[in-house]
Amino acid sequence: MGPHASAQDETGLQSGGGLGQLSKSRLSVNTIGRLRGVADTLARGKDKRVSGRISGALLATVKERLGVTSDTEAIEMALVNMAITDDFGTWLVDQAGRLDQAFELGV
Amino acid sequence: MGFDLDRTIRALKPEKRTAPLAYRSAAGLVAASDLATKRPILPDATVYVHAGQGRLPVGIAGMLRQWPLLHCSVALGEIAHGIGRLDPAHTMTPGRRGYLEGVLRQVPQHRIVSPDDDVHVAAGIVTGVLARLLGLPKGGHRLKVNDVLILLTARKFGAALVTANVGDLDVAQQLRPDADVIYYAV
Repeated sequence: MGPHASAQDETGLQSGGGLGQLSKSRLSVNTIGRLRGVADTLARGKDKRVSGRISGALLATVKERLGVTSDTEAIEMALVNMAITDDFGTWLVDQAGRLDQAFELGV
Repeated sequence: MGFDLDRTIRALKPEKRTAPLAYRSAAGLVAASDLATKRPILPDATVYVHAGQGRLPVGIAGMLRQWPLLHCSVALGEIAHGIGRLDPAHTMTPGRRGYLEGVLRQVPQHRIVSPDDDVHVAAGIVTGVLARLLGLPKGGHRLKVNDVLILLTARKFGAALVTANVGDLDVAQQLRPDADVIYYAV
């Protein structure tokens, strides 16, 4: 793959354009608090060691978004973000019939 | 934050975009079945509306149930715009408002992504090229800015945009063909 090729890596983020493409804005305090809360519950038993080579810039971006300084905490909270059950899609589809057919957003 | 103007111009090459854009046939557009593996999908604003109206095709509804979802703050802003537009005196307003508010309240905050400076600059160039090539009246490009912001935000986060807005997004995608879009008809 050439240096300008665009591809998805295992993180699910576009890698082709470089890390400058990733959002560095901080997640909301509520969101970070929720991730921390779930991490405290799910990650109580630290019984597994993982190792792997990842981009330092990617890790720095994740730390910035989460507002943390520890590598372990950043990795843990990123994993928690994927582990949290998200039923929104199912909820949305189940709303069928709640909105009348004539409605338009007007945008 | 900030943006890299040179990189954006190199990627989009607005000075080389002189050929008229043509709307592609449905056969040339990506369908859900064309994507071999699950990947994050990002709904356009109309997806939230069509879901409430029960107008989503079965395949798209299945994707929403099973695939990872991201939500763009611009699309959510369009839902909020719908709330503001509702006529307080209209008999349908309470039900419509209840649905739209429900969508915004249910969206998981940790799944919301937003356009950054790079995306805003790229969207400006793309909509400018579209305005020129499509012969839009001055100011007409503003109608498409949100669509392009949502498209480029999806691309940035590695998600495929799901939309029924074939008209606007087909031409925008031709300027950024590495942005994946899944089209559906209602």
